[in-house]
Amino acid sequence: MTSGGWIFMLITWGIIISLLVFTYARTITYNEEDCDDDSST
Amino acid sequence: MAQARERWGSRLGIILAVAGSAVGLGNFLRFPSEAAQNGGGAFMIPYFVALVLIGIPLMWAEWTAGRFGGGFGHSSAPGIFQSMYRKNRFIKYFGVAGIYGPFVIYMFYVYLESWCLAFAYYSLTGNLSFASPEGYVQFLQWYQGVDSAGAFSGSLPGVIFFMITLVINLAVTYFGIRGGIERLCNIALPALFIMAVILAIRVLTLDAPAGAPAGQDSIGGLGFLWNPDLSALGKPSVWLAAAGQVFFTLSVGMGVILTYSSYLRRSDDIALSGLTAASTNEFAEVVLGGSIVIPAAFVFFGQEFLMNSNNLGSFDLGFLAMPQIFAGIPFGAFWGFLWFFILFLAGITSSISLAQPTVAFLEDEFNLTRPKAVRIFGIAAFVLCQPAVWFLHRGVLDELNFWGGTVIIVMGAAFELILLAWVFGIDRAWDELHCGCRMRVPNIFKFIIKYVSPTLLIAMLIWWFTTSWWDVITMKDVPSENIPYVLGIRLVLVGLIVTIGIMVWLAWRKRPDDAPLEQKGAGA
Repeated sequence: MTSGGWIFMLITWGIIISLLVFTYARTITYNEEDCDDDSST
Repeated sequence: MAQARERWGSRLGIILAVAGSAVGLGNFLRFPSEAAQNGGGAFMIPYFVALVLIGIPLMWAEWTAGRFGGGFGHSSAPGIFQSMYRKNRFIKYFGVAGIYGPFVIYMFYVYLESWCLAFAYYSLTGNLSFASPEGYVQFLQWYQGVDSAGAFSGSLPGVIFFMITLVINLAVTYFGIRGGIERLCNIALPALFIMAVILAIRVLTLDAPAGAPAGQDSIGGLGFLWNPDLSALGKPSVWLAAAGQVFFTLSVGMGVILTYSSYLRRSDDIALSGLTAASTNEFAEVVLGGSIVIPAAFVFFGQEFLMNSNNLGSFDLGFLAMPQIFAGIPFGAFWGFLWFFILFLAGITSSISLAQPTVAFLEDEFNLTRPKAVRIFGIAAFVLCQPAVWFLHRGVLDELNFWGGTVIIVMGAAFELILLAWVFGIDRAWDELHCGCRMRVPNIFKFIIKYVSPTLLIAMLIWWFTTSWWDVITMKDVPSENIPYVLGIRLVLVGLIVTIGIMVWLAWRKRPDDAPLEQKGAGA
């Protein structure tokens, strides 16, 4: 694999994995906070 | 509609369900082939541009419209569109596309899904191991029944596995949003990810066959997929391929997200949930999907094999090349089973989402109970899946894929965006998107949703109209012996869309104006 290939692959993976971690971290936090609110509606 | 609406059990439940709908066979088969043929690593530039300008905005638009329509007790496109533009009583007929599209895809997708289940079974029982490449081709032809020259294809094992798959699908749908779809996705999606990670690690540690040239290893395979060909960025076809891939991978435009998000409360977040589901799909597609098929085929067959574009067909790679690779490594039966079972899980979490718009339409607009709605859907699906099973070798599958999986969803997506941004109003839509949100969407997306995404979708439609539609309509590339079958399935498709249109008319015939569920007292 060329250095260009490594760069494209690692940047792409980095963006996607960062987005995945960020969104799930916020979602899981949200779930915990929202439990009481959910049951009251 | 007086009965209490179904709801998702948890935020994570709907995220996994929407992600499950998006993660399908295309993530593991279509994406790597498209990337390798369209510039390798450079393909990711138009891919991300299309994701930001078409995929993500459309996804947010659908979540917004779906949750809004759900507030009026509607979970399918006709009712959702009508609740968004109540002044115009014809707008609901545009929503026919949101039932028709997923149903037409269902007509062949369940059959393809059943192949994955069958091949998982044959792998595990050791029946999928042959001495020569021809053996794999002959096995596939035997299973599909396409080796006969007669009018019908199909084989007894093929029909049996199709029936098993259809019954599993209907059972999940029967148990409803929380008890069926959410429960399955909560188990199937994490299982799929774990299995795919294990398989990707195994592929990336494969040894090349004896006598293979230097560089024919898994890193070389990754290089085949990722080495950038920047000259590809100057080709319009590469940008269109990226837009097409992004469009189809996120399950936007087909009415599924509309239906799923309609089971949310207005206070539920959709901005973050939508992005989370999309990022789950991208991880499955780019990171996992890109690390299995192409690297494995590169290690075992070499660059020459993959350079032949005929060998890069996603179907051939998945069903013919992969079993040969697994047959040549220790515990190949297990790895083969894992591969096809991953595809089956990806398939079933998508197909159950394709059934839901029709079932929800019958439940909401005809006041049917879920068991009755599923029974009616099941009978219709069983009958209408038969052309794909019995006339596979007559071009029926391509025809269904073109009309249900391409034309109608691009048109539907363009219409949805125009309805939301221009008729419903972008400011109102923006407020609706942020109601209950846990994440502010950058304001630039307001501009993108209103101007950029609809323009790009209309440009895609015009391009297709001017380059390929006439040839498709006139069946230019259809062999003469297949023309009666293709005409036949077109008649079936016309009959289906007319039937759904009549059902919409019947459902609204004597109906008073809709009111939000809160006013009807049935929203809890």
